Amino acid sequence: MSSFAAGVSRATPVVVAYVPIAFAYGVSAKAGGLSLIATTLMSTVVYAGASQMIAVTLLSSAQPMAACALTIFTVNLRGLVLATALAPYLARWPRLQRALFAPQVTDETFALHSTAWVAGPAEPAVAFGINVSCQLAWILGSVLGYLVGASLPDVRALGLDYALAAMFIALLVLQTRHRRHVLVATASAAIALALQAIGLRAWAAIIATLVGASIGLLLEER
Amino acid sequence: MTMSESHILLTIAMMSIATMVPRVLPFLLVGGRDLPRRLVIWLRYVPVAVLSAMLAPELLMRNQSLALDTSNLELCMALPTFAIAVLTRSLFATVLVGLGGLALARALL
Repeated sequence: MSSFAAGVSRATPVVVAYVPIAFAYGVSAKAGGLSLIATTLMSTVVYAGASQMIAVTLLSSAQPMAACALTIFTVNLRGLVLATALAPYLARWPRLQRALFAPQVTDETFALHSTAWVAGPAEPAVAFGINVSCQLAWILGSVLGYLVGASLPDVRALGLDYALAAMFIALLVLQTRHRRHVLVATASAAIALALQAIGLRAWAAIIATLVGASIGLLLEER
Repeated sequence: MTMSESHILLTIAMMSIATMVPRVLPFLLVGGRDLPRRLVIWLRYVPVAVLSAMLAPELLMRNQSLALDTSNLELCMALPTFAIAVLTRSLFATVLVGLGGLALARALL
């Protein structure tokens, strides 16, 4: 079996998870009034589950462009953490290969790569096999969701409007490894709620994140 | 109010930059200077902070005020969803239980 094919087969668990989640995104994109082109384009060039769900909400409520981009940037700052952790393994790869690899780093492909590279060498063909199959599954799921979504009478009956919240819950639990994480999560939740209550809708999450992460830093350096 | 298609595509382009820069930057900087230590620690708390900052209002608020009662089905379903996430540590299982549970609750109640 070629290395690329080995990567494709290693991606199976993520592919199985991505199709239905992307499906939910496609359905909400359709319900939010996005075009098929915009929906597919977003899965291709943004390629970030939670961000895309938020983007649908922001786009369909016509939020200012800068607020959209800044919210997505904040949500995806964790990409910086993942990429920083993976980068040392790729130090010997040619620059072009690294540049091609980077955009397809997600929470899930990160998990696959980091587990493999702790144990053995970072083989480009395997890595690209994993990345390409995961993103193809993501795009496929989005298109399917969009097309099927057109004939779904009510997305609420399938609970699809809950996909974003459920995904946040899973990612939050997976990221929580220490008591400080619980404290930071509680603090930023409280700040976000307070800011929302006084009407700062677009900025609540960003401010709460900046303050929350700073509280984490202070706790750790205490 | 809805946006024009060209405006939407332009916004998607900006969002693309916003999500790609954090992913690509570390791979291009490798071999160069490392990030300051305090920034690295701060960054490690960003995921937890941003996820709960987005989740809490989604679950706990309706129309800018707290909705902490059993009529808030989304909030009630968060308990089993959290439980499945802790037990399985699987994104797929968690999303499945969350969606399926909420669909079931809506059908029965």
